[in-house]
Amino acid sequence: MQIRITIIMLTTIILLAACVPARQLEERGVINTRGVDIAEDSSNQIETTIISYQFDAESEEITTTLSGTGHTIKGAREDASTEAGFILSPGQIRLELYGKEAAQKGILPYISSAVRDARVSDTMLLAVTNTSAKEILTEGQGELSLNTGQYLQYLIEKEIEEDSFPSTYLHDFTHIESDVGHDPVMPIIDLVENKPKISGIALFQDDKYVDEISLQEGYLVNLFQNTTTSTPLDISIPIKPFLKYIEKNQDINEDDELHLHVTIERGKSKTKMPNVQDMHFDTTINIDLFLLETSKLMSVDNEHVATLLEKEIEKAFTRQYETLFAKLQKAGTDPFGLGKIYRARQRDSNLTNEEWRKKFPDVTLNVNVNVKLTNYGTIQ
Amino acid sequence: MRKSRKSDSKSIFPLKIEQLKEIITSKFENNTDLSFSTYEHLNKKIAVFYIPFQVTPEKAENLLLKPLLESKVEWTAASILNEIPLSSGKTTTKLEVILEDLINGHVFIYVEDEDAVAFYPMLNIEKRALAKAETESVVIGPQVAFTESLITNLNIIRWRIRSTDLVLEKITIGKRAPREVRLIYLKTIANETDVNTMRQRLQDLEVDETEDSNVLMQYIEDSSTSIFPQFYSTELPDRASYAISKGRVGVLVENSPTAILAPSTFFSFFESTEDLYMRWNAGSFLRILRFFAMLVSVFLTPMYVATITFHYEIIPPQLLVSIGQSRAAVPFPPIFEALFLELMIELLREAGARLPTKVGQTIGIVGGVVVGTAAVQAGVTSNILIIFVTLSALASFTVPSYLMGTAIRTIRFPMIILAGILGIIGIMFGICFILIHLLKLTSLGRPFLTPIYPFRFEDHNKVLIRLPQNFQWKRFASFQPKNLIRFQKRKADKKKDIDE
Amino acid sequence: MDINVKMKSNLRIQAFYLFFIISSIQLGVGIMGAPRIIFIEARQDSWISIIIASIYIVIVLFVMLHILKQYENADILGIQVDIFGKVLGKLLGTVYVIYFAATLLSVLITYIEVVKIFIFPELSSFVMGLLLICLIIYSVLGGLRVIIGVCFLFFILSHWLLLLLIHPALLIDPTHFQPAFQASIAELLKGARATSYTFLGFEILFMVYPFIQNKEKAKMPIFLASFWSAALILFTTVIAIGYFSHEQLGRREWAVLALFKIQRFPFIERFDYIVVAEWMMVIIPNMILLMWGVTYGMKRLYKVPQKTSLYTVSALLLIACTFIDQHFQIQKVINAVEKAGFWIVYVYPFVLLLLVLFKQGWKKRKGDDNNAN
Repeated sequence: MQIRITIIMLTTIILLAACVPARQLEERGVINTRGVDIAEDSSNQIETTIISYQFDAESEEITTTLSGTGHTIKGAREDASTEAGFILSPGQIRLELYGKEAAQKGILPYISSAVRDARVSDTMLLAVTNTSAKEILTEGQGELSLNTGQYLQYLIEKEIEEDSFPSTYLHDFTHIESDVGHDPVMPIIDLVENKPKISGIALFQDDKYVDEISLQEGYLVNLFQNTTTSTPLDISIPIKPFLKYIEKNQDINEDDELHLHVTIERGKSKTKMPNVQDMHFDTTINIDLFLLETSKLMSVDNEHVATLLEKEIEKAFTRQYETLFAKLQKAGTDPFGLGKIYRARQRDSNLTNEEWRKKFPDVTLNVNVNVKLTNYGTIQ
Repeated sequence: MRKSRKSDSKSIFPLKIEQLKEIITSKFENNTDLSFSTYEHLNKKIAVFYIPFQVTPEKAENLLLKPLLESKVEWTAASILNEIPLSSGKTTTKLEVILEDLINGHVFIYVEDEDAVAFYPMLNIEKRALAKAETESVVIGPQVAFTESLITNLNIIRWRIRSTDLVLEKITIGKRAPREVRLIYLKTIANETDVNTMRQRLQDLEVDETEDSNVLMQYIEDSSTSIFPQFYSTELPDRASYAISKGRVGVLVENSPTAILAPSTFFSFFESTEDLYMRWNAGSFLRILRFFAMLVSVFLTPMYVATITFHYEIIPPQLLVSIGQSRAAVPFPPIFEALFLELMIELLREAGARLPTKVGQTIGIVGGVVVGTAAVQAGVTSNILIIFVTLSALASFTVPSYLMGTAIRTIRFPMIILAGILGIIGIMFGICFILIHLLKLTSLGRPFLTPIYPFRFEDHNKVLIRLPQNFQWKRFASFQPKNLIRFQKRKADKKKDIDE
Repeated sequence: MDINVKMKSNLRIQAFYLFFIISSIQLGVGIMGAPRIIFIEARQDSWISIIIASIYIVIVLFVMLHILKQYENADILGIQVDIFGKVLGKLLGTVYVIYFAATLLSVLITYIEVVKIFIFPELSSFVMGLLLICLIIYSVLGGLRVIIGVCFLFFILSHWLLLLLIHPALLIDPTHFQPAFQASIAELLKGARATSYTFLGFEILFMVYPFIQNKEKAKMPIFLASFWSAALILFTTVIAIGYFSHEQLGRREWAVLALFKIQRFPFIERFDYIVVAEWMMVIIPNMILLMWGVTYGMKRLYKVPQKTSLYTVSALLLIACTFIDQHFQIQKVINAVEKAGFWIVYVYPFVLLLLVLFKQGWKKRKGDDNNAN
């Protein structure tokens, strides 16, 4: 009995072997990075630039760069594959770059194409480019030994690891984008001397790129939403209160700023809405930090200095939050996710994004920062 | 059904010596080996006959012929037994017994006109000395292995288990060439059903001959079509006696250097007696390592084939690049590449096993190093696959049971084919199929996967991990031994506070 | 046909295994899509719906056990014949058997669809169906002992998947559950009803009950099993609601599978592939139990040898799964099974209990009358 069943099974399997076409790894071009632009020839087509691995014994290069145009992102991929001797496969896309123009028009169509295809990974990174994605991917290659796509991917991953800005994996982006009262952000990649670099953080209104903030502010956005750990940060505070603690014989101007380099060991925030009608939010942020470097030699040898430093850093943070929030309100985008809190507090309402956009400029926010200097290194 | 031997055959005695000679030689036609000599002693004719190379001639002459001819006693069948200073003498009147025992190395003495013949066992069994175990070699613990001599083997077992409970039942198997088989168990511990089942299977067996205990095992196993052995066959006396003392049934076959142990579980094939001799943590580690090795051995190459052929998505990019580059030059699809390499490894193994030890080692080195490197350089295989295939071959040799190791190596091939056809779904199908198959298997009527299924919590201290000996105060409960308790659990150490 | 089943002692099983039978038949293809279906009805309060549904199931299980206790050693087929008479009872028994077969079909085609979407778009339904049916036949041929072994083993071997949900669980956004208690009672009940397909399957208790050796201990494993499957569905639903935004969850067809996409290790990633394959271990116990129900039911009702019905039903299933391969056809089958299951599993036991109790009372009175005379 058993033999018969086994034989029947094996023969049928072998007979039906042809049912799934085999595509071996080396026959595929595994796409690593994809850039999405809107074609310049005003046909409103999508232009993709693809960096894909090619496994060819003959050539030295592991990667190859291709581009194609089409009305859909998959169509553009097909177009690009006409110049490649292998099947372009989207299962390992690690980074997707959106050209500025494309991002301003809204990236949801591209994202939904990625989500619909079960083969595409949810852990791909998203970023916006300051010029066109094509330019970054082709011209950025110049000085790099690694391929641009991989280089950028390591770059962004490292920054996310350090909590420098909110993580921009596809699953985070789609989640935040489709949440009511929460807008996503993305890093902006720019070419500096033919080398790609993260130049700032892009603010999105839903899926549209509207404004840009600095990397430092990117951290503030992240700190507002998430608990951050081990983030290196530069802080500038007025030098005046510290004059007597600073080592003499350095030329100091009273209006100078004291620059500190710190590691934020742990930053945690909590946002409350004491009264729903007021449209007022209170945020408390607790920060533990290590002092690593000061721009002027100074000694932190008594508690007073430490408290003073903490106070000044707190002030600096509050100030930065105020300017940032004003900027956000002006841009009409809410990466802090205040609308989410509002929606959660609101009973019996089906808040929509449009409603929140109308209310957002009237929102007031009070940020209260508590800084704790925990460590000054080996010298006082 | 095996028929019991006819016991009602008539006595052929008394008769003249010439007649006897005629009868016996006629049975041994074309067989010139029979030595039949006649002596005159006190006016009586005495015939002594035996098959020379089956008996020890010096023994026969010194111990039997000398006293026989030098003594002044008047010989009859009865007085031979009485007067000759040898034990184990017997008389018989039946021709069948004479013929059978002639072959079995007995010396027969017939005094003319007596109504019985006396005979003494003087067998000369050519046997090798006890040697180290080869297929199941161990690092620590007893090294000796069973030999081809049943008597020696029984002797070893008896010395290891010096208990009056030990039963060594004798069963003869084979119609054309009968062979002695011993059913060994401890009568106060072994489960009676198991003993009866095994005895029944042995007695019911109707075959012309059994070549070896491994052959016998295949006759009496629960499922003869399965790829997995269901009884454990071992050449280690300590392993056999350990199993028997824990209530299992052992079978020793004449002229076979391996013992059969039953019932066995799937997991017992991955246990080595070494685990018991080691500290419990090291022993448990080794045991888990072996299970892990089995998984590696069965799934590593199929996973490679499946991922390279279909699911490149599940390999992280860094790894993907190195695999892709090593694959780039290979002109075959992964399934053929993998089958080719696996076959090559099997060839090397087989050649190594067949050749004399020294040559085998050389072949191993030549095959492993030279052919492997050459294959990669020639672009026939990728070097990553070489690593995988070698690893999985190595892993399969960690299984203490050679039969199980071979089964595991064989399973790999259908798994590779499934992986090459249907990718990860194929592998999963293979896993499910094997698991269901294992669930269906029984060993001597007992489920093969116990104590996992049927689940027995108390037995888990000796399967995947081996707890310290003090914790093992119960025998393996899944086999329902007659006497479950090995020793009284030591009274919990009195609760003592620190520094008391 | 005997109302009570005479069981050989070597076929009996320990009550302890009921846990694995009930939970492995409840956890099947349903759980992959359950969060979305419940969420559509009850929004962020879905967890309440699941709790309501599981409480209801506990009540149903009580009723089922109570019915079974009225008889010495009977299954649903025997009880129906006892209550409704031979013709109607057998007819209802046939309905049961057909319902089992239909559920089996729905599981089969759903899994084939998932494999096609996630792993092999080009795979033919026939091959996939053939593979699964081979496994079903192979294990059902081993009888109930092997079937329960498969349930037990595959239950253990598939639950490591829960570990992969830790990462998405850490990414839960608590505001997705606020404001809580927004859904109306009607919506909550609708949500609870939406779980019915997922929770289906525990009616197999009606069939395996006569095989239980220590019936007095049967209660505990049964309730634990229904608790466990409810807990798992609750767990996955909560993670899915917290992990996906409301809009996303409303559109994700197989939300639970998508949860596995983000887990990464240095040597392996994209666990959704592995999970879809591993899910075979989740659905096979499911399917073989149903298949056993069909074959055993046919034997009890019409004395058809189990092997005959096994091969026939398998062939029919294979044909059916080859032709039903479009998404909306599959949905239709699932909906039909869900509707039928709702009445057969969630409502009918109450009716049956009333009838059984009525009949018992009537019999007793009659007996008393006889005694009085």
